[in-house]
Amino acid sequence: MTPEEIESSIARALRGDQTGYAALYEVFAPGIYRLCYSLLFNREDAEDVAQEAFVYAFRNLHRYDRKLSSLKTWLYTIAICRCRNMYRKNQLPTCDLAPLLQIGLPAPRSETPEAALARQTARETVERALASLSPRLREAVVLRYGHGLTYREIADVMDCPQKTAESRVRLAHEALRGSLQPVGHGLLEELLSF
Amino acid sequence: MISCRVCREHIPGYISRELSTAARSQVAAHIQTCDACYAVYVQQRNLSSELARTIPALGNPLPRFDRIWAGVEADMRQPKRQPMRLDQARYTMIVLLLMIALLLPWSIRAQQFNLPTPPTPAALNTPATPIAISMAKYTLEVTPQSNHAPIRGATDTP
Repeated sequence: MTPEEIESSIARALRGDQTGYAALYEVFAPGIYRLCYSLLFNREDAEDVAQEAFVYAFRNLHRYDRKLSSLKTWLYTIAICRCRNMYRKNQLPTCDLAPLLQIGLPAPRSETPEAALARQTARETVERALASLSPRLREAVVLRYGHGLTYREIADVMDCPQKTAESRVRLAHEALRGSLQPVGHGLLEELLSF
Repeated sequence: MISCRVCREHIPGYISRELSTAARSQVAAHIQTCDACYAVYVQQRNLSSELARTIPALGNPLPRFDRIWAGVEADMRQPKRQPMRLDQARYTMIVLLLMIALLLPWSIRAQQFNLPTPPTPAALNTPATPIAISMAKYTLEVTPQSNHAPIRGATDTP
């Protein structure tokens, strides 16, 4: 969707036209969901946070100022705030009932058990490496490499100076270099491309 | 010539081509001559490309976005909750504190226990006549002695 089409969708949404909201959702929903998942590592939480973020954004669309940031940056800022609320909520002690109830994640039907295991291992390696970072470093590296934001945009989303955004990405880089090295270069890409 | 520390700080920007022309040429010149910084540059470049491929794949398979959209639409239809304004919250707090200040003494008084008073001895209820006072004095003086019975024969003179 071109910037003009986004502007037109915003204008339609502000007039109360539901198709404007639907068009904006269609464009940004996958990115917002992936961002939430990369920070929370839980599908249900990511879906809930994405939904909350869109509801908040659409209700406050009249507050969006295109002179201050792009709609993508604005939506990412809202989603990151909601994810931070979720981190705080998840700090409360919880108990995972899945092992007790013997609930397993179903693998795609066409996958062999070995391939499913390898895929699962690779995903867990990346997730574990990201989870080992502090929330701020994780947010910076996910925005940089998961969503291709520039340092200026990362600074806008994280509400910090550009230099801070750069140093957070660098620190995350240094931390990830050690934890991802044992998997091997290129192997993750192959395994995660299912 | 920039230092190794400055060079390494600029390497992410160098890889993503976000440095100014001057800074870019400084980093390039440093990397050409410093083996340690070149090794860091190669490592970071490889890791950057790997992260750029792997992180976007997280979250696959994607969920059904129409289900989330249905949730968004349902939430949007609900009336928006108005957050309480600061002055409203302040007035509510003052009224609550006043009510507590007024009701607390009343409730404490209402909860007072009516304990039964111990029965007063009848002797103390008698009017203090001169005879009664002299009798009481006599009792106080005599009673300690009466506890010790006199030893037979101690005071008897033969």
